[in-house]
Amino acid sequence: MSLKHILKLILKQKSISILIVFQVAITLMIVSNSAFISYATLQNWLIPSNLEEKQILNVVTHVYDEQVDKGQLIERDLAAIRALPEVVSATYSGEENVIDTRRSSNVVYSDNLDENAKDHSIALFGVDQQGVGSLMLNISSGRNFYANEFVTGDAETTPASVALISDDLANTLFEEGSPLGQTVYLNGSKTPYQVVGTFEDKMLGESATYDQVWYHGMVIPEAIYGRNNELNYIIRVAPNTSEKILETLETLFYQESGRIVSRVEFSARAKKRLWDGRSSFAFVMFAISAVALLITSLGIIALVTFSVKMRHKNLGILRALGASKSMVLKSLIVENSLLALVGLVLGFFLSLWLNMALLQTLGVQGTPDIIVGILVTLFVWLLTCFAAYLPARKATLIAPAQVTKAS
Amino acid sequence: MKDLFQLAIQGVKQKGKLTILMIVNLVIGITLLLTMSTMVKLGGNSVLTNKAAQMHHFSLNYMDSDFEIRNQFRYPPLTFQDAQALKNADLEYKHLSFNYDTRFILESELDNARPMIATASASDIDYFSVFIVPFIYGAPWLDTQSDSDVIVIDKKVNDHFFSGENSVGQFIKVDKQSLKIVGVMDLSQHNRRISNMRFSNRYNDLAIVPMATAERMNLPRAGYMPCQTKEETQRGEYRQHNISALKSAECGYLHTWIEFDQQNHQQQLAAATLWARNYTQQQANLGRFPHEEKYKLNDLQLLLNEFAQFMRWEKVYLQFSYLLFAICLVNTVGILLAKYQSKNKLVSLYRALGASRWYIVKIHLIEISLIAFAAIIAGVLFAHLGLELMFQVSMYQMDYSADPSLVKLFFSMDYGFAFTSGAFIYAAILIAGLYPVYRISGISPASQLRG
Repeated sequence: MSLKHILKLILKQKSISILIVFQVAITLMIVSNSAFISYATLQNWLIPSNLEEKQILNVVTHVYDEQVDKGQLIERDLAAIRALPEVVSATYSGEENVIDTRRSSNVVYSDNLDENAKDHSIALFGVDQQGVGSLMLNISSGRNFYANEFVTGDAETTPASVALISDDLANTLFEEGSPLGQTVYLNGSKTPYQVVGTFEDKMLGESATYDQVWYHGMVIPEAIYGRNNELNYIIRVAPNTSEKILETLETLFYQESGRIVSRVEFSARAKKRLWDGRSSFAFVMFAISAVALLITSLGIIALVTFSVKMRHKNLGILRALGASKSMVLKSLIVENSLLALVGLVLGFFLSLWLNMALLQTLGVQGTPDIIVGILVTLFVWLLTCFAAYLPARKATLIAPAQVTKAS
Repeated sequence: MKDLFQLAIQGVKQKGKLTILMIVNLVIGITLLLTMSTMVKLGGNSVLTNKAAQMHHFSLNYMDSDFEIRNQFRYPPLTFQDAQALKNADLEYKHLSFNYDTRFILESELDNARPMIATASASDIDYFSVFIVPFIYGAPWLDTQSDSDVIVIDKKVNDHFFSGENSVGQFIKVDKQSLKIVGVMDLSQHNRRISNMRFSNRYNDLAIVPMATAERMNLPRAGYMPCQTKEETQRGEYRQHNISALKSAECGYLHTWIEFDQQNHQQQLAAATLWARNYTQQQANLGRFPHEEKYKLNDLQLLLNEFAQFMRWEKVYLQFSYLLFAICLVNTVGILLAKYQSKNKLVSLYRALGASRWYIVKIHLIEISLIAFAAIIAGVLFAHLGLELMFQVSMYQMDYSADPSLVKLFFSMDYGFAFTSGAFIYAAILIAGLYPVYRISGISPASQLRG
């Protein structure tokens, strides 16, 4: 059957045609936007953390008893933690925990004189001698800290003077130049630290990741406590350590009175928190998309079934005039494809409109991606073809004799 | 009538596959619509809804002229001085209550349970009446105990430290000091923490202590506490330590709720508003209240409606659900057309045998009603599942850090709402079915019987 005849048939059944176009357009609008949002989330998920997420643990505790000597408590805690068979190493954590910004976000400058110097968001770790090992950092240039460079003490303690920075941060701050021996300046106080080494990139910071500099990291040999009531630790455990370690640690911490244990978790959990909001939105949109696809398929099955029944005689005559089963099937599929095509074009514009609307109302936008858009369009088109195929196949079974008998 | 039903049931059975297709299609749409609309509806609900129009949050804007109020929930709490002035004003109301948001560590006297951090309020005795706080044991403290070492704890605290037994008369440590428990409240139905204007659905009060006791114990001021710029450097000190300096500072920390009588609501509100206007005008002459809008008495209903505006994601889901339900209705039309197309001969026969057009319409409307009814019942059942799934998504989104029983309140089936929605859905399905019914009823007698 020629395209001209198929177009004539479409025009003859205007209401069915409009319904199919409408369904396909709405479906594409919903599914494509869900796909864009999900894809954006997936892209976040797929950023390699380079982190041993099931081997590094965060511990956050609050000391509320002012009588407790925090320095001694840290020593007792570390001794008890390190005595556990699953624990490889552990450090007191005076600044951030892994993907868990604690007191406030941290920034670093490469210049302390220029007031307009750009600040660079970083993940900052103040650790003791087991810190580098506990974070499982690999030194890529320069050296690790010397034992005599570590400082420990309360809030009045003089800061350390050296630092390790990540390769990515080194590139950002010093571009092609060597970072070794350079000075970086920390936060508003512009406390200077000399870079003695760099480490391979790891996703370590919560704020840094939100600022899209997931590999910006800096480690300083400072185990300073008493800036607030938190006493936090970063613990490295052996591979394949079970979740039981979390309860073991919590129980251990509660053996000391005067404190609350707020968090004992694998860093995988901290990483999950990064995208909770977006990913849950993506989950729901994904589910709604699946429902939209299902409903549209059911709708097309129903409408094509009706269309075929309406044209029962015509199809029979067509068969009597020598059209093969495959010709009938093909004409019905082409007819539906043309309708789907119109729906997809309309859906394309509706998708762009919805994308903008989501940005304005929610501040959430899955940036339209051409490949994702094409894949979704193809998928919706294939699904409509399949939905049309089911009743169309039945139409091919109409026997020519049935129609000729009736007439 | 009986024959109509029999014929309608026969109609349901005929072309069974298409009937099932129609029910499945409708159930999917109804499930999604009921799930999302219930979520949005419950999001704007509160146990205080019945008196939300009479309850007002009282705010005076003492802040610097460049202070910007970003939304209705950021009007400053009262400073101590302004709160005293309001307390001493000659106004009529049902209740006037002041509270501040605090948090502290709760510990067992017997050391038989782990300590816990409590989100709590320091308040006066009117707090319990204003927020309709239900008690399972004991009662609020007496007027005479307003400066005593007493505390009201929530059921969750009672379960944690006293295994759910009646703990009234026993002691619990608050930041290392022992307070006597006078009552155990149950806030499990209070889905939002309204008293501190946060409207949080993650945690509610776990304890309430008398304001004077909290001040004496120096329990920290934890919530929203805006200070004039000149006070900004002292804010940390005011929060944690220096309550006496805070009392004379331009820092608001006292959330103030005023509840008017239902009968004289408008007159009492007008009087309170007039007082606020006069007071701020008088104070403006002394150099305070530089803003044009010097006072604000927002009623709770407005705040609840306003808060519902923040449910942007849920509203997007709901819009999509409406769209998908519209597609389901379109599908219903398509399926009914397909289903009735094969009934042409039968209907033609009915008509030839004397059935009127109206009789044919009635058969098919009953048939659609039966299908719609089945779909709505199934839709309500599946919406339970939908709400449970959305509850799980919500807990995931909050990283399981919220009180699940509180969050669950937003994902429970509201049968009253489901019934009303069901009626609308039924009407929508029936309207969608009118066109196919009109077509099938228009078949002339014997027109289809030739072949």
